[in-house]
Amino acid sequence: MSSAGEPTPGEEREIIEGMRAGDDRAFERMVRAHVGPLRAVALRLLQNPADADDAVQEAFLSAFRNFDSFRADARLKTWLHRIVVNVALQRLRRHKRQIARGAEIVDISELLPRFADNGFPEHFHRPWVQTSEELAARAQTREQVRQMIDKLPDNYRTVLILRDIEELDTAETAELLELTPGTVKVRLHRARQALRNLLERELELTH
Amino acid sequence: MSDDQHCKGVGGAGHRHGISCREVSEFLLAYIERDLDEDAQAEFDRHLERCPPCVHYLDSYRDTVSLVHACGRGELDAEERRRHAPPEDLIQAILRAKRAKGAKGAKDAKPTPGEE
Repeated sequence: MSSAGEPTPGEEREIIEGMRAGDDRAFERMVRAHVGPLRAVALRLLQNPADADDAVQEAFLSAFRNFDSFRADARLKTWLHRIVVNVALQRLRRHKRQIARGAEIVDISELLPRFADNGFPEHFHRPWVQTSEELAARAQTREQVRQMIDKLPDNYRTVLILRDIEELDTAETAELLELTPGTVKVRLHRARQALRNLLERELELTH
Repeated sequence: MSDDQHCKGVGGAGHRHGISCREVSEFLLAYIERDLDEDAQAEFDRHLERCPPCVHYLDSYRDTVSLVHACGRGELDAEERRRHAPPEDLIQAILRAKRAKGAKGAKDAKPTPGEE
């Protein structure tokens, strides 16, 4: 098996069979194959390397203890992803106030579109001067986008991350966050609207 | 911009029929995900045909979603990947923790995933 990157389907089968047989080497192979992407997920949610490492360790131990619940038709990557997201969200809820977040947090209500009583916007929108492809092509802009996501309040940031980055659907996101699907949709929409406004302002996207 | 100027250049009829710009903004997600009923979806389309600012808003909303998707996974950036490469220390810590717990056997505990 390669030391980095996803295991091939054959390697994944060997890992699963080894895990079922209680083979220590299979556990190590599973850890080495998946630790990178899982740590990135934990880091995105927790924003702190030490917390992310703890969450990843807890997730792998949980996977080890619960390997019986891994279904044969599932993918290891997807199953582990869900476990680490779950662990990270639990930690985020538990340590909400203790986790040091470097980024300043924005007031979402100030970033939502404003309207007059007659339903017209206070500010009429103009086209952006750059496409999303052009913006995403620059490393500096990619970093700025990540920093802006980090400025959103946790309630909105987690929904945006789970839906638009981790690609979970509304039902999965609602279940993990213990919210109704309706609340997930409202928060996702507001998070996108606020971020749209931040991007437009910070990246000077209109003339 | 005044109401009169708002839809200048698109026939001058304005768009105060059906839904307002505020409703377009509020229900944009439902529109994009085609969660609206057929009539509401058609009202939305009619509004957009006559209201360039709302079309610009819709486009920039979609661009925001694309950007988040393209940029969010920092680990896909080579430089970020190097900076955030999982340290061997972490891998060894996981293996040690598992050995400590594993002495009892893999199948003696069945907490839900994520449970401590």
